[in-house]
Amino acid sequence: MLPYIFKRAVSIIISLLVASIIIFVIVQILPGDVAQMILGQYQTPETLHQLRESLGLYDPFYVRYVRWISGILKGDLGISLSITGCRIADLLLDRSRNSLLLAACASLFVIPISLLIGTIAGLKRDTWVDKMVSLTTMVAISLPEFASGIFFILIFSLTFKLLPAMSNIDTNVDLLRQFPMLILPILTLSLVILGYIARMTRASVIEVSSSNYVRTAVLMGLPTSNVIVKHILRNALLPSITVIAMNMGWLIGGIVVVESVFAFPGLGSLLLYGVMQRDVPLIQASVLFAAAAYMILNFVADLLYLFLNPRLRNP
Amino acid sequence: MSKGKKKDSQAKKVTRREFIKTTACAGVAMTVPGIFNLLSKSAYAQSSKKTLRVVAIPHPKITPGQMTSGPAANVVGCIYDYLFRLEGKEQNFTYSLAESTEHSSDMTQWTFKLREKVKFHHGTEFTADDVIFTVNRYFDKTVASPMRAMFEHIDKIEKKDRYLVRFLLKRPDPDFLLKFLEYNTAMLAHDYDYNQFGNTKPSGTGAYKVVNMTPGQRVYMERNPDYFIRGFPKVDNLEFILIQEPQTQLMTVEAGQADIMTWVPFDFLSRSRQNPELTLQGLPTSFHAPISMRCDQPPFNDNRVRQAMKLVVDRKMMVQTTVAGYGEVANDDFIWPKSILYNDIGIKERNIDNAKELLSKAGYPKGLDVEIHCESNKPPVMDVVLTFQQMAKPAGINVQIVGVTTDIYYAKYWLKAPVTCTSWGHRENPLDLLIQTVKTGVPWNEGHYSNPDLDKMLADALVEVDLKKRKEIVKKIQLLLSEEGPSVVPFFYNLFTVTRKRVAGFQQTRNFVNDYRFVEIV
Repeated sequence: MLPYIFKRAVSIIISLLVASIIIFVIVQILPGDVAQMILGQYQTPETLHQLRESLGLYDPFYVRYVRWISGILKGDLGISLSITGCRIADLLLDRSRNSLLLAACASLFVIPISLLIGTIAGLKRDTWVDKMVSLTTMVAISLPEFASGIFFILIFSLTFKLLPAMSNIDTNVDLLRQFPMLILPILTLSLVILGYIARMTRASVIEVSSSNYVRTAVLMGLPTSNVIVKHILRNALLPSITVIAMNMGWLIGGIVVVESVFAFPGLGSLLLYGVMQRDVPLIQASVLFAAAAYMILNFVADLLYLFLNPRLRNP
Repeated sequence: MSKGKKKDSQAKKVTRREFIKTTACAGVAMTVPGIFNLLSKSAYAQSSKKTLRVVAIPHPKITPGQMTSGPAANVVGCIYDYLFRLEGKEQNFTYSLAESTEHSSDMTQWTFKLREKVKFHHGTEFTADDVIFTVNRYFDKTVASPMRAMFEHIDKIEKKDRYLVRFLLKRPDPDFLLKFLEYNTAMLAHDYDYNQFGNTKPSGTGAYKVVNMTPGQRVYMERNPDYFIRGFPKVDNLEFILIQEPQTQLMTVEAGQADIMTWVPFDFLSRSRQNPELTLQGLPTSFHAPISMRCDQPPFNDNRVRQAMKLVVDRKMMVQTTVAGYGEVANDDFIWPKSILYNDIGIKERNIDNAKELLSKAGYPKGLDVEIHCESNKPPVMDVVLTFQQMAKPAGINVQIVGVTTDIYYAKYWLKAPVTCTSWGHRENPLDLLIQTVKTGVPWNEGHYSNPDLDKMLADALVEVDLKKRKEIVKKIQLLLSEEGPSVVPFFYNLFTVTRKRVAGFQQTRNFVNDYRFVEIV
């Protein structure tokens, strides 16, 4: 197990390094000039030159990359060019805390529900229950999150005035008091994830249910609940772990649309703001952070998989 | 007991399990409305009579002199104050930090008497030193202020005494006071480090002080108890909730989580008007979105082509379709009809036959292919270009639209592409706009237009102190620009604000410095 963990850790570091090069290159080849963007209409040749000098834009590509990556290794992600005077590390910490909170709440809500629905659908295959679940999950996957988000706002905030429309939480205020602000984004995100996890679980349950050892357990006369919990679910839920881990990564760094609709101050909206302001240091740091989150979560999922499935420990 | 009766009694008997199940379901069903009721009454959902909440877009910089975004003045106007302001529905020029002004007969010397006993938030008093510091800062290369060009004609600034400052100019400037209405001209303290604290812990003389600021999310302020207008501001706290999307901004106000939204897009006007909980406030301005053609390259170096482009536009129709009728038609001369310098020279009517004839004489009998580059995310630019595209078709002008986001537009296409459409803000003095846009060689000359006659007329108009003579010069400028200028300027449009009914006394302004000082929550 330990050699496996070590090997994966090394591969994550190499992957992050490669990702950092790709991110750096892509940001550098974006159209437009950082200095022009910052100064906007007020640019003059002198002010452009001055700003480019202060940002080190005249240095060669590789010098700028090494400067950036060595800063990251020292924990210095630089200063934001758009949110002037703010350290990017502080911004990322703040926003990732918010994103983690939302991701945790959404996961706690949607994972049990989707596992349950998927399991029931798999066990009641081809019945009206299965068909209802399939239809619901298909609609949930197909519906874009900006549409469902705005729909929830229209119904719950504007029509029935039950919940807040905007989720711009204030970290200076008690989070419990602000929990109602998280309900609609949680519902919106849950709708997106529900479909994937439920359908994966359903397929797994169907596959495992038709396996020989399950048939044997049934023929041996074991109680149905015993067969379902100890034999079917234990094996069927394993593939769902990977899907859950990938969705967790998306919840942390990729929910730009939902964060925009609800004005939620997470990593996604920070990245979007950085892109609109052409804040290159912020874009680079945010994308790398999101990539790292994905990789680490997938690593955790793989470890969990190994832990739960002893057959994989010694291939 | 007979078998039939026995069966009936068994059928009617409710088991303990069923009873518990039914009761539990009923109990849960009854609590659901209760939970929602609790949520709606949570401390969060209640709006406070002491806090005014405004939705605004996130602003990159809020240090006066360095701002590159007009909407940032929404926040800045609360923290800082200006020598002069625009106040009231009529947007009257009002003295603020300046108490009075005098000028020499040739308007080359301007003396400002400052208001006494006004304090900055960090405690020091506002004096002539601060005015001198603020203006000199525009010329500091490290600051790279966009105000530099506007004040380049200042020769010297003299401190006459603690509250008296004199500006000596290189040329007469009848509009010198109007320059201090620019949103970037708020007064700074000479003893405060704005380079370090300007965007995180700002200090001004404004009606509100910053309590805390979460970058890109919110700015929370409390009233300045030492504000120089006694008894104001009325509201104890002011909170700016920074939200990028206009749709989310409006929904936040509709849901009661905010009280004011400025810069309401035209698409949202009818929705806001129909909402009984909201009040819509409009303000005529000189905002416009000209379609500018590069006059230094074919085909637009031929004035006949430029005239054809102007003749395809039905200006009244364009006002209806792009800004819902909330604007005033213009005649391609950049002069706002409400300006005191404006002369009515008539409005060009749409004339497709003339346009075709002009194109034919210019060597384009079969029409013209035109590519217009524009900002796709700044209303009403895209609507203007789309409407122009349809209006130009019958004349054989085939328009391809290249819409990009603001950052790419200014980096790649603005001042470079043959035809562009840009959103331009309000100027109290229309001549300020002209010297920035059509004078030979100026940085923002979108059309790369050069006309020595126009340059001379502009120079004369800038220094002419007699209003009647000034208007006559401006009339000639209008006629020239309408006839052969580089841009199609079809209209000027209004700005809109939405407020909840509980808000009274709010006034949106033309120069972005919205006035929250006299607002009350009823």
